[in-house]
Amino acid sequence: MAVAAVPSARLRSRAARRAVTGYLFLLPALALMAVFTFYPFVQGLALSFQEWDGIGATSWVGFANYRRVMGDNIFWASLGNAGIFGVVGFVLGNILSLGMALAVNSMRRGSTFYRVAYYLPGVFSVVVVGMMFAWILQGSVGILNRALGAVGLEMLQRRWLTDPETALPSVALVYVWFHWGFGFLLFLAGLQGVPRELHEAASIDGAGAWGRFRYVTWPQLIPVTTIVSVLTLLGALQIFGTVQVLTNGGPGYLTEVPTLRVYKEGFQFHRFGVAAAMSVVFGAILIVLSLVQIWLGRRSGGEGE
Amino acid sequence: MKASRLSRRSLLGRALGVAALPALASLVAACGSSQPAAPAAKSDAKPAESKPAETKPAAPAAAAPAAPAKAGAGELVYLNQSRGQLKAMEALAERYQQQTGTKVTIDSPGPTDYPQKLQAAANAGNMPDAYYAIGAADMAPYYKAGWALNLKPELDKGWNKNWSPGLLDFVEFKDGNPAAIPAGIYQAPWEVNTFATMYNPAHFKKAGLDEKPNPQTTAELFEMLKKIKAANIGPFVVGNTYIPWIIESLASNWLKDEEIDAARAGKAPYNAEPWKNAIQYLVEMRDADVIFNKTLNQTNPDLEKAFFNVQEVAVFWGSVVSVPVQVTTAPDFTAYSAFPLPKMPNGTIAPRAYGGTGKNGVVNAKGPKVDESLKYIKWLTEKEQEVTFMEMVPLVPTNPAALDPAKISPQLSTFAGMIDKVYKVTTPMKGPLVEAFMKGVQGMLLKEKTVDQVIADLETAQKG
Repeated sequence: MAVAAVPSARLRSRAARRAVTGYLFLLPALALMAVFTFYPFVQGLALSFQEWDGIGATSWVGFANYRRVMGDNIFWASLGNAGIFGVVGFVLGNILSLGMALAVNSMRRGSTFYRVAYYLPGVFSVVVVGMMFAWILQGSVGILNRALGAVGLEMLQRRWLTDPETALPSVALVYVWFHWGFGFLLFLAGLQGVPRELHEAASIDGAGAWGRFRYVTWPQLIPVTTIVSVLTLLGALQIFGTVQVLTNGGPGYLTEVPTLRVYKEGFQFHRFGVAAAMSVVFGAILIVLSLVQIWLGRRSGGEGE
Repeated sequence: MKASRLSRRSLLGRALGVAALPALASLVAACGSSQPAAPAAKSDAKPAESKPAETKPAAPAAAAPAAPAKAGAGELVYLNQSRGQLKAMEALAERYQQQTGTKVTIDSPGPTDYPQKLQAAANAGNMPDAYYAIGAADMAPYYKAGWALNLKPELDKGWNKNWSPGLLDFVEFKDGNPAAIPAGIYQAPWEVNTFATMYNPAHFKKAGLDEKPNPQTTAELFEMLKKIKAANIGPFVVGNTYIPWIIESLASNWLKDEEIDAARAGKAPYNAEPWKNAIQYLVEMRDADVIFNKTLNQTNPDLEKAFFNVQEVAVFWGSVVSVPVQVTTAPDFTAYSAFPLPKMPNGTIAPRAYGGTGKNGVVNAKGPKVDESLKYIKWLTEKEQEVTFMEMVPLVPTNPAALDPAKISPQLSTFAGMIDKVYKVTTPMKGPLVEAFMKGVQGMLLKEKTVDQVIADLETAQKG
């Protein structure tokens, strides 16, 4: 008994030391997260129960800010717009990203150029992108309308960002263009991790291009797709800069999004408590959505395997 | 409700907190995303009263000592918002140094970043010695927190001779004002701000109209706009942020100044006929398709470009502050002129327009150089400096001694003549009410809302 107990104790001690070392390595990152994420989160949560104009004293107001948010039709309507951006960013953005990744992955020459070209939009600042597309989509002297006019398609000319029919789709497309590089890179990395032998085996078995994609590539890409989906959906739902620079939520409330509401509540209406409450509510919705999406991804991943 | 003070650390936490909440969702998916952050920190000091510059160093009434602004001895910092006035401010700063030996640094973050920079400075307790006051609604927290010196005592000692009679009424807060700002005057304006209807004579000529239009009623203007539209020219436009002001201006055909003020303050309803009539005029414009871009969704800078540079719109209702933009960006386009917004045919009283004062100086009451700052701001409002402003910017000066009709441009003269036709209100329009006007009217122009629904939105915002 005693002989057996000694190695066991040593093992436990070694395991404990290893665990401590691991925790020590985690500590710097944890400290940063504590300072820049958890502590501000708690402070933000506290602010959501207070009234503050951004300059003066704060006062506790209980759930008044949440009651205001619950009754704020504009905020809830803006969630609908965010949903549209989410769907467009998620579906169209990912289809384009995947398509580009498949194309580049199959190239024998010139893939570096396309990698750079496709990822380039994501390097720009959102303000640069906004200014650029504001000029492109401008109604009277915009490049797009000028180009349409030059090829005899005047009937298609629009005031893209102020026309109620085109404002939201225009912003959504700019958003997709701006962010497709992120999904593209991840999909490309995922594709390069698919073993060639699987494709060769499938080809020998008589699988065509579609068959290889459906039964080889796609199942292998499911883990990447899950994470890309979660990130692109969350990113699109949290769209802010693109909307603010291009339309600032207009015309009317047609492109208003929750993050812009949070900004306006805080910086334009000087109701930082309400802004914090909106952030809490919106954050909770995003957490639920991301959990559901991860769960769905795991389920489909399990089936795929 | 329990009031509490925040430490700077906790305020920083709150700033990041607003940003961090939605981001926490991303954290779940190992994703970070940026959100607008709320700066933090505050003071609950009371506003301070001015003291004569000649007397002993000011001891601002309530002020907890704040971190000094970034200026050494014999130096002052003025935080400037205006791009159009920057050169004039710098030239005047040089002159001030020559005359007094005090160096003034004009810190210009630009109009877009100005509010955030000012707020960050207040939160950090590092406010400049003097600065520009934005709209009253935006400045109310600063006034209440004691970041602005009450200039009224100094003005009453004879400094007020630098303003045309009644002009300071626009910036004075009386006892019991709805914004709960302590009574006083917190800014010294050096610019008159009035609104008028700018027009491009060439477009009127092309539409077969008199090149010097002088519509007496809005109905006459309406007919002109229809002809301009028929000539395939953008007829009429107003910047999105000016929507509340044009509605108030139209409603002034029936409402006295105090009634407009009462509506802003929530003491009179917006479902009264004058407001409906004013908004209805825009419905008629919409139905006649005489609104350029249809939705009034464009910012004033966009429309200045459309009117002065691209010249694709014939009539632009805007502020005198657009004139310096023309001088800077389209110096050759001087043919435009302006007329007052005409009266409504069924109006019951003489209409007035939105306006008051423009660029100004505020003295930091908690700064270490209150007296020096006050002296500098007073100097800026003297005749010689106002003449420089008028010539360099150009602007309509608040100092009557500086307003030389012979020197003022034809474009400015219409605006200068408008100061007697401005409705006088002192209640700041709250942000949600401004938004309800803007978005409500835009929704109405999109046919998504009726006039009654816009009115209902205004009522809701008024109560909120």
